Amino acid sequence: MTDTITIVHAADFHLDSSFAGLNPQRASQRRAEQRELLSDVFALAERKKADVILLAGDLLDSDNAYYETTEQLRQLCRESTARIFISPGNHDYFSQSSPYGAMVWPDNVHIFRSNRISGVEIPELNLRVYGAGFNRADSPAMLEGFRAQKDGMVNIMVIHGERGGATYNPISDEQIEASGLDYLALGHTHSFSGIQKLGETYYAYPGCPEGRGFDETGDKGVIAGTVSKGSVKLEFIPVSRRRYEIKTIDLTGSDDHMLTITDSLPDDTYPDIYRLVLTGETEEAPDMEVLTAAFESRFYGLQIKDRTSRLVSIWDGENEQTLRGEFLTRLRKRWNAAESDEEKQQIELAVRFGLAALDRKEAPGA
Amino acid sequence: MKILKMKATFGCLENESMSLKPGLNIITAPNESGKSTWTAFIKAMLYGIDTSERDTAARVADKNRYRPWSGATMKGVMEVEWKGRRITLERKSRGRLLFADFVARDSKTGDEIEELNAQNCGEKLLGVSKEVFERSAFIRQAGVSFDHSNELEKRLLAMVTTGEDGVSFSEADAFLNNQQNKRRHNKTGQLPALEKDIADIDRKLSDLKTVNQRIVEQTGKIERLTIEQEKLQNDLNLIRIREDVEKLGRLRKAQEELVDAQNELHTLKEQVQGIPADATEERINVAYRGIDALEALEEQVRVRCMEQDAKEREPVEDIVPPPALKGMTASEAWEKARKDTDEANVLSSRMTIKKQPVLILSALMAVALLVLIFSLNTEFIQTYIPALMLGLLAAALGGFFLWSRNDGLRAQEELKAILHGYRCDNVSGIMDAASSYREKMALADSRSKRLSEDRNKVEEAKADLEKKRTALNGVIQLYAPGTTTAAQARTELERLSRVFAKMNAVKARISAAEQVIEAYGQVPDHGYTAEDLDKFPTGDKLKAGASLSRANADLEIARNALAMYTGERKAMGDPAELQAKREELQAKHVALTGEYEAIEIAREVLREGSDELQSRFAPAINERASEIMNALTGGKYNGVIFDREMNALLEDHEDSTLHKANLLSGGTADQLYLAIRMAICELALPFEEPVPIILDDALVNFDDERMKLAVKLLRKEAKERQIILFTCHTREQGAEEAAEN
Repeated sequence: MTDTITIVHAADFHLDSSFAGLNPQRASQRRAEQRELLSDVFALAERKKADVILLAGDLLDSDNAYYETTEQLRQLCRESTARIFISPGNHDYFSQSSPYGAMVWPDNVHIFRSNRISGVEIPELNLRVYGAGFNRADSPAMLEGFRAQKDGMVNIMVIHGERGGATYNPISDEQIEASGLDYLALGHTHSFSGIQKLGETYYAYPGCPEGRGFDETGDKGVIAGTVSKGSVKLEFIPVSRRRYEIKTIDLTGSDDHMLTITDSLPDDTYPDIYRLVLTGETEEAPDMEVLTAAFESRFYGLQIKDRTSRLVSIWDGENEQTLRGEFLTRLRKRWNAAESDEEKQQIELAVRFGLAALDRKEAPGA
Repeated sequence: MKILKMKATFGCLENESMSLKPGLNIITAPNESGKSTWTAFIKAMLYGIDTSERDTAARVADKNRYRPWSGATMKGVMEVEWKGRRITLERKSRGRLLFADFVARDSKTGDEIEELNAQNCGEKLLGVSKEVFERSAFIRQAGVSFDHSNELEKRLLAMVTTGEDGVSFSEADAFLNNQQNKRRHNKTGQLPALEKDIADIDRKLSDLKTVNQRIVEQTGKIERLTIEQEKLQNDLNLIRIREDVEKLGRLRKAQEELVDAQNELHTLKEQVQGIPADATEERINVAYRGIDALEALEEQVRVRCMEQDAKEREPVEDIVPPPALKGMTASEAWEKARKDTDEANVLSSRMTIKKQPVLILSALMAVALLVLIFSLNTEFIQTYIPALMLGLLAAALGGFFLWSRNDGLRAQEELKAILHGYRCDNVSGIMDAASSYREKMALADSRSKRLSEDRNKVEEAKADLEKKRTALNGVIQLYAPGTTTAAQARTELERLSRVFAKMNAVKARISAAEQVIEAYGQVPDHGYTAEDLDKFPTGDKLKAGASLSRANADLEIARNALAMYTGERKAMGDPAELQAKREELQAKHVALTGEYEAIEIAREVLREGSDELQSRFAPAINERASEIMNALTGGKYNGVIFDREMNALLEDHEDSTLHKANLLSGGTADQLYLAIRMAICELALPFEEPVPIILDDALVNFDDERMKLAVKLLRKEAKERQIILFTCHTREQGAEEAAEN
């Protein structure tokens, strides 16, 4: 009887929810890819010969769940040799009409339906898995007062909650330390927390397995490894196929915007979704249409944001004794007093509109 | 700054020159000879040409308009006097960059003046930006190059408040308002359209959400129903098997029963050996009943015989006929009686005197008498004749009476004799006697007939009885051979009957068993025994079948519902696509809203600036414009006032009334325009280095009188700064010369 449990710990798939920064076609492709992601994670579990797979919530968006996706998840569970433990989170909380409640799940899947902690014992692994699930879109603290049984079995808990916070099963350091668990498998935060320890308890957030917006940049993945009484050997395993990245490019002094941008980009960006933020001072505004058309094909998805400002001052003529002069002077005062870049940009836009009106030119914008 | 000399290859000017003097320059040139081109040239030499300007619907961009017609490279030279120095400016085009090649030299030394370059030349020399120079220093006629929608007043107001004859605040504000409205104006505009589209997408997403939930529900339902249906199907199968097992049980029992019954039948058959093969219980019973019947019949016959004998032995009364009818048959007697009656009647009648002859004779006698009488009276007839006649007749009559009496007596005798034969005393008695005799004879006849018939019948019955007896005996011998007495026969037949009854019962059992065997012969053997049935569900097969049907129906409904929802979802589109589209729209919305707000800021600030300028400029301009107006109108109007509503008013010197500017005559309006423009020039353009003012056909609408006054004013003004007046008339020239002298 070995006391080393091989686990795969993942969370926050948010299957079937939307992706930022993609055109409609690509967005629709992504859904198919997400399902492949599911397969990848389960394949990883097979490779590692995992005993249990811990899914710590927000697997689905109950609002948007496609039956086919849930069916695929079920099928993967059916085919897996591991035991799967699911703890419903705030986006896929348990109810009779949610996929967890309405559909029939294979025998090797245990879904924690109640919002009170319960435990499932697996004697042949000398393992006890605790868990609880959200029954609504929010939850009070579920871990309050919890103590794991001290009988020599390895105690693992899988649960969805936020450290600090107040709405989504807030978890405090004291609660973790007092729990007496060997490993606490968490979900909710979308970035990998690192393998942490408080008291005798190891805990971690795996983050989401794949980013879905520009607030989830960089590598994403799951946690895998072994847990034993008193120690863990866990590592972060990236599984994402596509990454979101934000890159700032300074165009100051650039004669050829396209060239400057090309030089700044890494080579292999095809699978990824990028936001390029152009900054600096240039003579002419970068031509967004042309740049987008030129660079689109290098990425899976591309957004370009123009944060450049003009060399030639738009304030030209500000001191004249004319309506124009007055207009510019006043706006310049406001611009100097502006507290943020956005504010400054808006004032600059106001200047352009005003000058277009006064000089009988074409108005900027649409 | 003063312009001294110019040489241009620009637009329609092909290497043409012009020299100017420091004060008032009146240049007379016909239309289309390049007046506007020269003014554009001046501007271009000082400030360059904006190559980024694009053609608009209203005007062609300068860069396109003033390309040299000859196709030569655009170039120009301008010598100016500035701050006491003479400077030569040279510009040339460099490829696409028109007039970009610039060099400023000291006219005397030829040294390059580096502080002047293509961009800053104008500002440095004149002290104002291009826009200001354009708007202040160039004065055209009041009517030209204005939008027809602009009222004179607005423009005047613009000039007064902004110091430029350019776009007024209200124009600019209207432009910006228009821009805002494009983006949002109550319920129309780009932003509301976007909002609608976004709302549409939100609705679709919500619908998708609903339909997805339904799909999940239905799938779960189908799974649960399938499990139930399978269970029901299983139960039904087991119930069917149970039935079969029970049927098999019954089959075996029937088979056993068959064997038993057949054995019994065999035994029974042995008990009726020797009996004809076609014997049936019915026939035996018939034979049995036959014995009884025969005995009954025998009794009957016996009784009848006895009765018959008794009847035959009954005494019979003799019939004594009347003597006359003795030994006759009834019919003979009747005949005779009739004959005798006839005869008696005749005799009776003989006994009476026939009246007829009497009467005749009497009649005759009467006649005769008459005749006699007659004759007595006459001589016609002899009296003797009738008397003879009478006498004869009387004799006849008497004779007749005698004969008749004898005959009567004779007849009476005969009658008596006859009546005696019938033992009656009148004629009717004959027939009575005859008929009584006849009756009696008939009765006796019939009685004897009857007896005879009865006797025959009895004999027949006896014969029949014999026949029957013989037949019955035959039958009995068949079924109960060796029996001699009826009692024996009865006993035997009874026994036989019972045996046959039993045989029939056994045959019925055999038949029943065979039917069961036939019915259940095809029932399959599932290999279960009755003990196994304990584990099987009991239940009504029909009910179970009905439950299964219901479950199937429910499944069908659920599957159809699922198909419907899945179809619906397909038609709704891909949520990922919708979401991405929503993002796009949302981003546009944000951008447009930002623009809207920026425009709001611009308008606000413009208004602030305009108000400020008004307060700053208006009084100064009013004052100076009033002075100039006074001069231009020869003292007629001497006050320019803008009232609260910004209507321009002129104070009439003569009657001190205020006239609204838009009610002025065209000429006066032109004067007012010129006055205000000039005032603006003076106030907007810097004092230190006076900027030349260029008038392009500005006096074309002035009548001669006014024109003269204007020229006088210009001459005065030209003492302060260089003035260049382009005109297509010669009269200005004339006026100046006149004023000179």
